[in-house]
Amino acid sequence: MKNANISECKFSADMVSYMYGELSESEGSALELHLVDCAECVDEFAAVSSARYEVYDWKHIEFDPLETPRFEVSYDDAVVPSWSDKLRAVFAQSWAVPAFSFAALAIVSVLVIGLAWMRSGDEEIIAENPPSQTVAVPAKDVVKDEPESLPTVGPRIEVTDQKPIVATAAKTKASLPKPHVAPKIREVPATTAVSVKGLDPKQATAKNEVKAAPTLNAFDDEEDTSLRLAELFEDLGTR
Amino acid sequence: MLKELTDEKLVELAVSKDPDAFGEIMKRWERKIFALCFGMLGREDDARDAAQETFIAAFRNISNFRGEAKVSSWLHRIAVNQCLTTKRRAKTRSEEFLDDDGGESERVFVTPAHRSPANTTEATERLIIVRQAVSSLPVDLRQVIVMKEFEEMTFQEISETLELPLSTVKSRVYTALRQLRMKLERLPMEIG
Repeated sequence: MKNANISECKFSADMVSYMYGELSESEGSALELHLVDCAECVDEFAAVSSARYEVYDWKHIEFDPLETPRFEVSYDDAVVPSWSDKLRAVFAQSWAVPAFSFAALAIVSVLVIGLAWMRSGDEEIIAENPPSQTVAVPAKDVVKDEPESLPTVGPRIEVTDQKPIVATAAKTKASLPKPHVAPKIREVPATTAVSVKGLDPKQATAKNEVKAAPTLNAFDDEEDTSLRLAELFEDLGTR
Repeated sequence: MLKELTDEKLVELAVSKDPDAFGEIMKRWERKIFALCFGMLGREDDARDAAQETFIAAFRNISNFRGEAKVSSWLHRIAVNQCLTTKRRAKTRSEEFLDDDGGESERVFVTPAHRSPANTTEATERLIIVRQAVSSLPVDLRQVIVMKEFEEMTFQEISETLELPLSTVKSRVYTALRQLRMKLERLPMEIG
């Protein structure tokens, strides 16, 4: 409230001038007369004066005793033209504008020629080497060849129903759309190959690769034989 | 001979590579610029550095001085900008310090040299409070109060230097002192 009143007071603007002794004599007298009647302005004047005194005191105690430092500005350090000044100085030369224009034109020409040359080079390369087409080998064909391409030497044939077989040649492998399932060859123990009489192990292994499945029916044949013998005994008994 | 020339004439000579002309400008303004920097920054070493940087910046850009403004205005503008730069740097440093210090309160950092009030006099504590109060004023208010108290310029001189109407300068000084009064009433409780 007090502040609002004081800001409305017509003497508030003169108060600081009076405080710093910058009012004319007549203006100062008018303010003094006003202060006699206006208690709020007196309070305000006291508050502002005390604030000013604090700053004055600070300056008097801390700043006044200080000697003015010796400032040095040497030509070597100070006259450092900025990059814009340097640029301006270069372009101020009479030869600069035509020279830079010519250089810019030359650079652009080189770029355009280079770009055109690169494009024509690309077209020549395409004409000489048409893009190779990847032909996917049909899965069935690969499977057909597989028994011949499988290794023929080795104690075991590690071929199962689930294991995918990839085309033997690397190129074919790359071109295959997806892995193929092995032909249904049942696993044969290594001993089977050895047990085949009259055959070289290599030949036996090869045989196993091709005709492995029928050999496993041997057990069933024996069983059948035993059954037939039982029937024979029964027949003999009845007789 | 140089002493009789105006600031503007000295600048012209300095631009034309007269080595003594800028020296004369410095001689005329060094105390006032130092006072301005001291009032704005509150520390002697910061003020010295800022004033030094002010003169270097002025000399480097002397060719850009157009003569439309007064030399005093130009120098004050450079000095105030330099003080603001110095303050920003100090603030960044203080933030780094606080980070390193595990977030110690700002109040303690503001007066690191006076962490033990027990061995300081009441007057010294009061000066710290005043310095802080002035430092926390808005730049435009701080500038006029520092020019008035530290540079001892008249309202008219401030008006011409800042290129502001006389009434605006008076109003700013008045507002600055009122705000200072309020801060001085509040700060002892915040600091104590």
